[in-house]
Amino acid sequence: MRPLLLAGLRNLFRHPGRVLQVAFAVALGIALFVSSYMSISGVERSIQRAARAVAGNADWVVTGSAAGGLPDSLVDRLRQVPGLVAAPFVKASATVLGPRPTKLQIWGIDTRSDAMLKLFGGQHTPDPETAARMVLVPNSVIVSSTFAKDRGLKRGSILPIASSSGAINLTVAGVIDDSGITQSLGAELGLVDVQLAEQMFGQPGRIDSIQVSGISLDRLKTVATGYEVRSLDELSPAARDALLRVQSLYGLSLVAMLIGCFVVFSSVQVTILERMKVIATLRAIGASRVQLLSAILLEWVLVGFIGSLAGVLFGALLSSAVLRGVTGSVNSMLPVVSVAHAEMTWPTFLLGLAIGMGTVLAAAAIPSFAAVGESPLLALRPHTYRLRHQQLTAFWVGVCLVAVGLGLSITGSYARTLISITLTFLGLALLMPQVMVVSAHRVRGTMSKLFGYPGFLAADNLQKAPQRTAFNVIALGGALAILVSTSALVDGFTVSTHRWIRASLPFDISVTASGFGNSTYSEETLPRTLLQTVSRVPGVSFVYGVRKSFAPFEGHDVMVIGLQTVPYLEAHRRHGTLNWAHLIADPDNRRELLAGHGIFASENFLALTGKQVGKYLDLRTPNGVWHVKLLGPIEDYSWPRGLLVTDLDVMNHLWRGNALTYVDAQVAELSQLSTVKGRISEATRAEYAVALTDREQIIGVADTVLRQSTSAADAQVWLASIIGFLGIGNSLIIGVLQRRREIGLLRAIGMSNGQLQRTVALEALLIGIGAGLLGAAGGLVGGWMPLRHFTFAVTGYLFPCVVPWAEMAKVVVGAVVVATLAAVIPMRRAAEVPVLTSIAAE
Amino acid sequence: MPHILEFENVSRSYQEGASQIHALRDVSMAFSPGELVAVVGPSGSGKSTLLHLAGALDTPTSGAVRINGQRTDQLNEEGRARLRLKTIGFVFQFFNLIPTLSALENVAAPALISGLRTSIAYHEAASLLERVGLGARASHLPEQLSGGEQQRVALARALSLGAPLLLADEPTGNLDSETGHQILRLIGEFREGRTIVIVTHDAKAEAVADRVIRIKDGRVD
Ligand SMILES: Nc1ncnc2c1ncn2[C@@H]1O[C@H](COP(=O)(O)OP(=O)(O)O)[C@@H](O)[C@H]1O
Ligand SMILES: [Mg+2]
Repeated sequence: MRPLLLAGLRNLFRHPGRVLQVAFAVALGIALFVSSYMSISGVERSIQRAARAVAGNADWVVTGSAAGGLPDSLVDRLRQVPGLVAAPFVKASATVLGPRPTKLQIWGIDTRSDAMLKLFGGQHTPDPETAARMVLVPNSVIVSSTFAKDRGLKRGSILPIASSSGAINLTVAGVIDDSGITQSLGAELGLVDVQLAEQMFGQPGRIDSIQVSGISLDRLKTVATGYEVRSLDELSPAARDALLRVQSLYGLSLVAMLIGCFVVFSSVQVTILERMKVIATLRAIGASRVQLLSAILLEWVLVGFIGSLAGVLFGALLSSAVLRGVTGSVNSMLPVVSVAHAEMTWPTFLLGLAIGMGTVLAAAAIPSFAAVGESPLLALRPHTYRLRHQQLTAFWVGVCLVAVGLGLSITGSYARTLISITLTFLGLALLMPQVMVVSAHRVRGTMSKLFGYPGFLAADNLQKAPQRTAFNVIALGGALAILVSTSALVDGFTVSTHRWIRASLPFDISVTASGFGNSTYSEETLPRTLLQTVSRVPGVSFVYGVRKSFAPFEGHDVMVIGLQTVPYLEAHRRHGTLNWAHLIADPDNRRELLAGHGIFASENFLALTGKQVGKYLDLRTPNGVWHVKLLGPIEDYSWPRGLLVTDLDVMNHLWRGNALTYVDAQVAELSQLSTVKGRISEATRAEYAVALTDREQIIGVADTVLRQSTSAADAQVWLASIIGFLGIGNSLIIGVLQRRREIGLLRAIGMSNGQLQRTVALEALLIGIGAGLLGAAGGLVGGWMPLRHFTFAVTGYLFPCVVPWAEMAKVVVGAVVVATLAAVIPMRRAAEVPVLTSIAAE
Repeated sequence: MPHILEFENVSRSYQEGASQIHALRDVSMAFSPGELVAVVGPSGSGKSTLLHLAGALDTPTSGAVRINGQRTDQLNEEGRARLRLKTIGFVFQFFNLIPTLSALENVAAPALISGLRTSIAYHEAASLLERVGLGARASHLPEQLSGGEQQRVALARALSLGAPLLLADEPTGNLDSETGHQILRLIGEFREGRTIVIVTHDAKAEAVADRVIRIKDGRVD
């Protein structure tokens, strides 16, 4: 269909603005997708790289759990297999004491065998002489070169380190080249003997993992029964959990693409309307529908290609910003991953192009099919406007789709949430035109009372072009709905966590080895003696200790907390929140808890695992399987995979060692919080590097983590809003172009330019109000149904529904402002319509 | 009595690339209240140009067009719009109704634009539709009306604010001769107190006109 294709391309050149708009809408959608994809896979690769940095050439890794660890003896058992190389490994973060305390990542490696050397294969491997010195000199450490240079460390220098068994002086045995490794770890590195590491971090006889090569996976699984065995390139359960969180970004990209679809759809529709005559004439002289269809679609695929290409490139630029948010969110759950940059790969590039062009094709197909399906006679008639009284069938189909979409979202699996979003959007697209017809008709009278004839005309125009209007209301409304629904969720989370933190934490100051907010997964511990040190500080009225660890359960790591039960309850009594801990305080429960027969579980643990109170569960601990009864639920938001609470002594027995994670202190009534804080750090300075956090700071940390988790989404929401903004501008310009004749005529019979421009502006205002209301209402529903259930499915937290009034008001006002701004160019265009030519003959 | 419409040495030319097209050359004439004037001439002779100048849709290249003594080129766009609204009614060959508005809404448009109360505007529009014989079709959209009916709606709209100057550019050009005659007769019924200028090829119009102006190559014969 050369003539139409030529005419089409020429037409595209004549309307560069429209082409740009379509290309831009596609580009933004694709940019969102590509940036999400690149940053998520970038983080994934970084996690793998970090694993490689630790394990070198190993094939497999054997783990117990995140912190439960493995017994030393397993290494010996594995080494009995001929040809197998097994390297035990302990990893923890420690603080270098001194005037300038810094973090150092400590790796405990086996310096007594050649296993590590075999696996590392040359890369950052200590030379044999240094390795020998490691064995001979007690408490020796090999440090990375940057760190050594920074601190002026040489062979034989002394390095004081805070460990969970108190301060310890390490002797530098050598320096290794750290090129590459510190970068993939995001930390400076110290290598010590594995047994020293066990001792330093309060886990005698226990290692974190064993790197293995020289055996098949199946074989290894039979040798290491009872432990987790996976390929080194496979993500750990914790990493998978952390990544799952940020995958919600794909949902956002989907919404953006759907919004883009609407923009493309309406642009294509206009160009087709404009060329209805050409199409009908070609049909009349014998062109087939297929010929015409392929000509039109080809034209738009070309535009789609340009848009997608731009989108992929823009996405690559955007990815570094998104990456920062994603890394922040992942790091709140994982030991720190440092992500250098997100990489663009060919598959990503091609996938982006394919999705963009596919979207344009899908959106262009609908109006194109409709156009070529039309009888040529109908299209040759002079009037382009055909009265459609009602669109009731479409309306009811739309209602059904929305209902099905929302219904699907109740179960909340990831795929279902995406399908639910798509169905809801399609449903809205179908039902909205009818809503537009009815509501625009309703407001005509009011608009004409308020704004005179321009008000009437504005409402009337919307009523008469319901589809175009509806699509743009959905486009902007959809983008705004994301804002409202995330903020409904965030508000729900904030309200719950703030209340929870105030009620459940019966202390004023928490003492930890590393900053409270660094990482929930942090495994740094404190020596038990710190309990006395802190309790002796003037102004401290009461202290108790807590130990935190993780246990593998049904493929995920759950958090385990051991409380000094009796002091903990006493702290609640003094704090006036014993009521909150009444289940733990119950004499029967407390007896079971102290005896190690019972355990408390967080509500989200129960929701995620489906376990019930009163039933038993089998928990793998370093000391074997623990068959324990679920005593009751507690409200808790510490860990998205759930929390189990036991007594500290029970935990120390099962998890071995007696280090603490938190030393919680209450401040005497008349003492100043900040003064007491200062005294505590003074008292502990010599021996430990501690971080002090008060309750309000913990609230701040929780909010920061939350903000980090949603910050990647924020940029995307703004882009989606830009697409919506474009859509409105597009719609208004189309409205002006389509009505050139009428505008010319209104001018001819005496309407002033001011009145004309007011009409366009009022149209925009109505679209803006519609979009704002849809965004507010849709966001509320969206936050309540898909998002809340999705979050519940992933984390087990079912937050109370909080209506984000402020955000909703902002969204409505924002939509009105955006729409009014979008009207500026169309208003100018309307005023430029030449009266004489537009009223002349057809 | 002052002239409602006056042309004084009016010329209008268009620049078409390098060449100039003189659509109207040095035309001077005047129209009195109550007159019905027919403008005739071959296609391309400048009739529409004349009418557009008369209706303040366009301004002359040289010379002056006065409506009620007001020079149109001395008004700005908004001033001319106000003049068109209050003083002039147009009827076009291609009807030019607003396709999305009903017959009644089309007729009421000028009154509403001028800021008249909705109820009054619709009331007057209804009675005008009644007078052009379309009282029963008030709620119909243009596409649901025949050509003759659409032109009657357009006439009602042109009369809606009681404009003293009615300009019709080939109002019968797109209609069969019988329907065309009906329209001409209808226009004639409204000549009371109005100046009417009809551009036409129809001999019937020449017959009822008080005066016939013949144009050829942009000049009045
Ligand atoms: N906007 C314009 N640009 C260029 N030439 C024009 C324009 N309008 C009219 N003309 C020319 O002016 C002449 C008179 O046109 P017109 O008044 O429409 O004639 P009529 O209505 O008598 O058929 C014609 O030659 C026409 O081509
Ligand atoms: Mg003409």
